[in-house]
Amino acid sequence: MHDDRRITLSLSLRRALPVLACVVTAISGCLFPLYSAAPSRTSSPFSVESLGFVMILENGRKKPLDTYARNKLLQFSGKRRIGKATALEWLSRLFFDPMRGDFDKVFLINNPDVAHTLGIAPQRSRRYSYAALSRAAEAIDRYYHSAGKTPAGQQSSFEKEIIRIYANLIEYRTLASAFGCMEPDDDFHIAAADSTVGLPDAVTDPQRAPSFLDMLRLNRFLAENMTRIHQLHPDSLSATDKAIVRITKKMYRVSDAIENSPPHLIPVVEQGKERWMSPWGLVGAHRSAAAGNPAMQAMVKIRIAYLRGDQSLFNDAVASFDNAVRSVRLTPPLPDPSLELLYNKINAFFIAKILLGFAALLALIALFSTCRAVPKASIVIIAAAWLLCSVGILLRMLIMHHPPITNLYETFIFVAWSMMIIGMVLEVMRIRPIGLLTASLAGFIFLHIAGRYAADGDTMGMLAAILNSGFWLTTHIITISLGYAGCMGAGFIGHVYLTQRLLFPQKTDLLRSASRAVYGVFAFGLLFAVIGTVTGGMWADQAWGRFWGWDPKENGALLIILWGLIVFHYRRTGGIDGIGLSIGAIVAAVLVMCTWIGVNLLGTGLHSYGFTALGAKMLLGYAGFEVLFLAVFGAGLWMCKRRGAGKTEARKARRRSTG
Amino acid sequence: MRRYVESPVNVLVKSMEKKLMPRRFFSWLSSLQVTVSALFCLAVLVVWGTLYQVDHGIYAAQEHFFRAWFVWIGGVLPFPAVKSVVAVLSVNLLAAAFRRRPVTIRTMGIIILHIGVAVLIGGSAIASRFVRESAVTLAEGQGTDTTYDFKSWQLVVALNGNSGGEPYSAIRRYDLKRLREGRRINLAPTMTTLTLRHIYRNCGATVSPHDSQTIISLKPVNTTSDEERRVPGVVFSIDARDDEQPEHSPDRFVWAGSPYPVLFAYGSDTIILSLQPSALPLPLRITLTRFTVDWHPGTSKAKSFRSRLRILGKNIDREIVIEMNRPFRYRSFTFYQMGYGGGEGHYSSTLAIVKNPLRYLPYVASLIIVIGLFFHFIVKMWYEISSLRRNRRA
Repeated sequence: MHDDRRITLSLSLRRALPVLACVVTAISGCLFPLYSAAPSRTSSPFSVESLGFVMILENGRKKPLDTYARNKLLQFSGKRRIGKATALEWLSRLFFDPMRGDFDKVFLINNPDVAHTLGIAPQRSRRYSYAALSRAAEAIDRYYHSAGKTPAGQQSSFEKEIIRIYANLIEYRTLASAFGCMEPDDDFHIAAADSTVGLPDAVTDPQRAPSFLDMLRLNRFLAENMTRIHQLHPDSLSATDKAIVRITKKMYRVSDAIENSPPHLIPVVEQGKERWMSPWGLVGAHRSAAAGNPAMQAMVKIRIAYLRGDQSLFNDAVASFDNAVRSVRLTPPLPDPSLELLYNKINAFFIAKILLGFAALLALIALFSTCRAVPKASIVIIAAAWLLCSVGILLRMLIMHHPPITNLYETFIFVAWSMMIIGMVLEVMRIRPIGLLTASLAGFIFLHIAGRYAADGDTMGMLAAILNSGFWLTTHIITISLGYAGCMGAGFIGHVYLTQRLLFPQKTDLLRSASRAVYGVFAFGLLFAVIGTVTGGMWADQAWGRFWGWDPKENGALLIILWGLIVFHYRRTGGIDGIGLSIGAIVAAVLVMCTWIGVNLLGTGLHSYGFTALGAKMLLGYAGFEVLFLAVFGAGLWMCKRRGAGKTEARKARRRSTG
Repeated sequence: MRRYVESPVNVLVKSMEKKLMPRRFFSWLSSLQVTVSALFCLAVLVVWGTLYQVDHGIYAAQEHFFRAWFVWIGGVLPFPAVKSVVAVLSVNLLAAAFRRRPVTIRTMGIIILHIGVAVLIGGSAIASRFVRESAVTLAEGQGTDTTYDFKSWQLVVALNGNSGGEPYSAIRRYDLKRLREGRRINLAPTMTTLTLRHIYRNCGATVSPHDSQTIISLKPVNTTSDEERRVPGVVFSIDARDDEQPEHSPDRFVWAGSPYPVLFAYGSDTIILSLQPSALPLPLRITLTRFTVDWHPGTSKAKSFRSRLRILGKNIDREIVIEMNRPFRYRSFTFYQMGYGGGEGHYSSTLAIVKNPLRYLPYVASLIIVIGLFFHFIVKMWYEISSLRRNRRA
């Protein structure tokens, strides 16, 4: 009896262990982002984290500097960290200590031929510093202008890469010089020994040259001296007078070149209108008064504290900058960045993707394993990933005060989220292993695609006026996305069915349940595609005055419905069985991708938005894969039938010979 | 014992089956094979028409594929266009409806859904006859009670003169879409005939070097994607009604881009020709009192824009606000905010005005379809789950 208990205990332990392991994985997965987003641990104890709360205006959206830094780093390097430094640490270095920042390898050059042509030694990491690229500045400029002559649609990958690098370099330079007005400039220094007039200390300090901002404070001194110098004969000018003339000329030269380029950190309300300024922009607009702006003064302190490595001074300066910015009466007032910082820290979709990767691995193991704990572990991880995705979507809604889907990136996230639900429902209905595979693998794929889209920049863009309708944006886009998810899910299960049909044709129960799953999920997709299209028509009627206009996006939705109807009606005639239904579902999935992404590539119609080269490549790759898959399946089926026919013939021959 | 009484519909169907068409043909007409084939044709047309839009624009695609009976492949081979295919589908649907099928809880959803489809097709066909679209651009302070449809042009012929000593004056309007090249129009009571030699949907004009008001030739321009920007023109001749050789008459030109109408004198009669967009009279007068745009800060991207209008009509005099996704409806008219022009302080607002007395038909049809779909899938799912449970128990 004692042995029985031990066996029972060991069995239950064996079953529970993988589940426990998965729970630990899920929890650690949730904690990982908090750990990974922590400030750099190796560089110095100095932390710039408080700077992440500072608000910045970019593309019409007020966002925390932390988000801005992440997006910029992702745009330049395709990564979220640079070495061991966080995006915010990198951006702080670029803002306040650009000489050091120039050696950060932030520029991604995908094509090694480009690096080779530019005369730069190709790096394994494919990332290069500004210092390295500036040595090839002339070549980049030459190739850029040559690429600019090629029409946009006919540019080679080399030309596109050059244009991208050039644009990034220009933007980098703008960011690196953002605080240039606070940087000491030796040109503004006057040797005190030569002084024949009473010079202010700021210009004679041998320890520190004055900055442009310091010189603005000395406007009066320069003006008075220039009036005096004008009355003198050029030959009679002293060295100090010549220095004052030189400084004044430089001041004029710099002033003429001032622009309100990004980063727009300082809000100003003038004549009831809100404007956001960069430090240079504020100087350009307010001249000497800019130096007295509380936000500007705080920014000077932040820079000094950063360079000195004085943590408490830095934090105090950031706090006073934030106070100064928030004291400006803006309508609506500045949002609280805490939620967005939390969203950034959690990095929910990335972690969910990793978890789904694990779950997919377990689901694949479950195909060949009899251990019941493996699929259980997989579903636990999927549930954790779904929860993380839900939190991510919810946070985005709270941050933006928008419905869950407002752009292409969010449609991918939402479809991944829906796929996880579809998969889990199938798993609950014990349609195995399809449920697990759909939830994990399809969810993983869509989150991965979303991640690639995120590299294009801020995924929380501002809405165009036409989309400014909470009700229709919610109902139409959610329903049509559910329709997409259903059709994509059916297509995915169709693959599983066809593979099973090829590998295990004798497992009829398995095939029947797979076929039913294809039908059910496809029907779900069709139902929501119809509802989505109808609500889209209603929205079009509200916005443009017509229910249906044969716009490419509308036609795409109609095509999905028509295809669904063809498959379902044909199935009713008995013309197709499980194979036909699965192929129909796979074609429906291709049509969904064409409508979802392909329509944007046509460049016509009212829904033509969100075009990226990535979309074209992805669509082509996907369509190619499906053609290949169906061709392989067709060949496999033909061979199986031939082999089956061969076996029958052999059996008959054997019978004849024995008979 | 209950006696089965045959419904009049069934009697009609049976008589149709026996007398009007052979049973097999009726059966084929109502078959799912026809449905599938028609749906497939429709899918092909949708893909074809969508790709056609890339080069030719949405309106050309609508004309050639979506609002046509036939598509001419290479200008020679006819292929059924959307109207034909939808007609086949409607006949198929009607024929299927007449076939006796048991009405059970399992088929109820499908029947409702198909009723919705029938309402949608029939409703769209009827509504397309009544819908009138137009647009108007107003500056602040400007008002109008008539709008124009720049997608639909009319050839306007004004006749003045003396017929038997009696002075007369008449204006005739001809829809340019319905006119065909070579048509001769009798301009009674004048003794003349108008012959249409060429009709261009979009063309450019060359004016006389001596007189900038006189057009000496028209040259067709490749169709632009935006039909509202098309400038049509007509090459015509005016001959005596009894002229047996009208082809010898010189070419004359009327062009929509010219601000001057074409004048032609024939004896004591004066004929004035011009091309004008179709007018849509409004039941009220609208005046733009104010136009405002909200921008996303620091960008040139509009967050929203709205027009404040004063509307004045029979028993109505008030101010309304129209913005994107917030149209104003009055009887069968709907006023939409379409776009805007100009800059700060001198904005102009473009409004689209649609007259559609059957506006609610697509909504009703869609609602029926969605109800049918939901009903069907819920019932289907219920049966599936029950069967799964039974299997599991077994």
